[in-house]
Amino acid sequence: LHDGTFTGAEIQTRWGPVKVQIVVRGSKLTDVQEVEAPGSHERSVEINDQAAPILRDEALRAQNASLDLVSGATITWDGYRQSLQAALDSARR
Amino acid sequence: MTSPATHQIRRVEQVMGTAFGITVAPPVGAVDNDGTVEDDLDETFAWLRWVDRTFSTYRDDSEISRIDQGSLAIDGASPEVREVLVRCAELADLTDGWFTARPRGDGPAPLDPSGLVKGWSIDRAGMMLRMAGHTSFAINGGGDIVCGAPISRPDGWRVGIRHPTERDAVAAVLVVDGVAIATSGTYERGAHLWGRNGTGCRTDLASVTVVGPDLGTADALATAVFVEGSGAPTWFDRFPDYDRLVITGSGRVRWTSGLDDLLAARS
Repeated sequence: LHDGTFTGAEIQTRWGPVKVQIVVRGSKLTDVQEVEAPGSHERSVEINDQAAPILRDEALRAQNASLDLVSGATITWDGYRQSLQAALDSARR
Repeated sequence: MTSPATHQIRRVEQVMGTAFGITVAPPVGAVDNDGTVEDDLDETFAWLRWVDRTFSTYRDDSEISRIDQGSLAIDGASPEVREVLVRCAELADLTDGWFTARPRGDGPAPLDPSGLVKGWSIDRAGMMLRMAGHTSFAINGGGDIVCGAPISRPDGWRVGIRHPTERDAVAAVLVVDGVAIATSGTYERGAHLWGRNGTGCRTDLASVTVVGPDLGTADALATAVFVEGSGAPTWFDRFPDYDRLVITGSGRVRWTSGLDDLLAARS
């Protein structure tokens, strides 16, 4: 991975569009942030507030967007994973 | 246009104190324009929330709490509650007591079948999806997984087994379809595992993953193998359809031969 900040593709989910940004330092993924997150209605906000930190934690943990699922960790939100994959692909170029 | 074979619908919701994610592919040719897949997901999550309300040890008004308080007789409980308690007793026998529905040692042990309930409820959720016509799906409830046929890859779902100590790594990758996978360890959600007879867990293991046909059983076995601590208890032979992958405290990964063909090289 190249160092820098990379933004993934916008992925449509049930709750609205999701887009993540990753930070790579020393060839390691050091942060994942959702630059666009579903929040258009109350339920989305509730789901998103709860799922985003969990997903962020797992994205850092797995550091491998080619996985579909992770056992032993909390659940990923696949929309984030898709956007994360795109961001990682940018970082690999 | 997304091709029907890879079209998938995903949803994640918070249930049982963790995140549950369900991915389904509508049957080929039945692209979900009328919302029926969403209806199926609504029903599946409604089931999981019902299980949470009914079995929670954190709610005084759950059936499990009321049974424990003596205000509800087991005979008067829901059929699902009775089924789970019967299965807990069977699994306690089959694991020589290493799995138990009364895990805590301090004082009278409260009834806590959660070591089986989450996996069991995900098995049922998978059955609901199958009955609704979905053969391609995956359910991940806080790291415990039931999957049907794969969606985006022909060879199977790529399932990472979380590395217990390296936060940003997976220890192994399994490529699977049509199986259940449960992992137990103390690295997640604090030390929630207790040994036999309520003793503190003195395991040298970092995590135990069990793979097999039924997630309730896999979930219970993962916990039992973890707290037993040797990594290779003889009673595991009573479960010939199940395999295990054990990560020791020093980071060694060991598995039973049934997983040989499912383990992928790490990408």
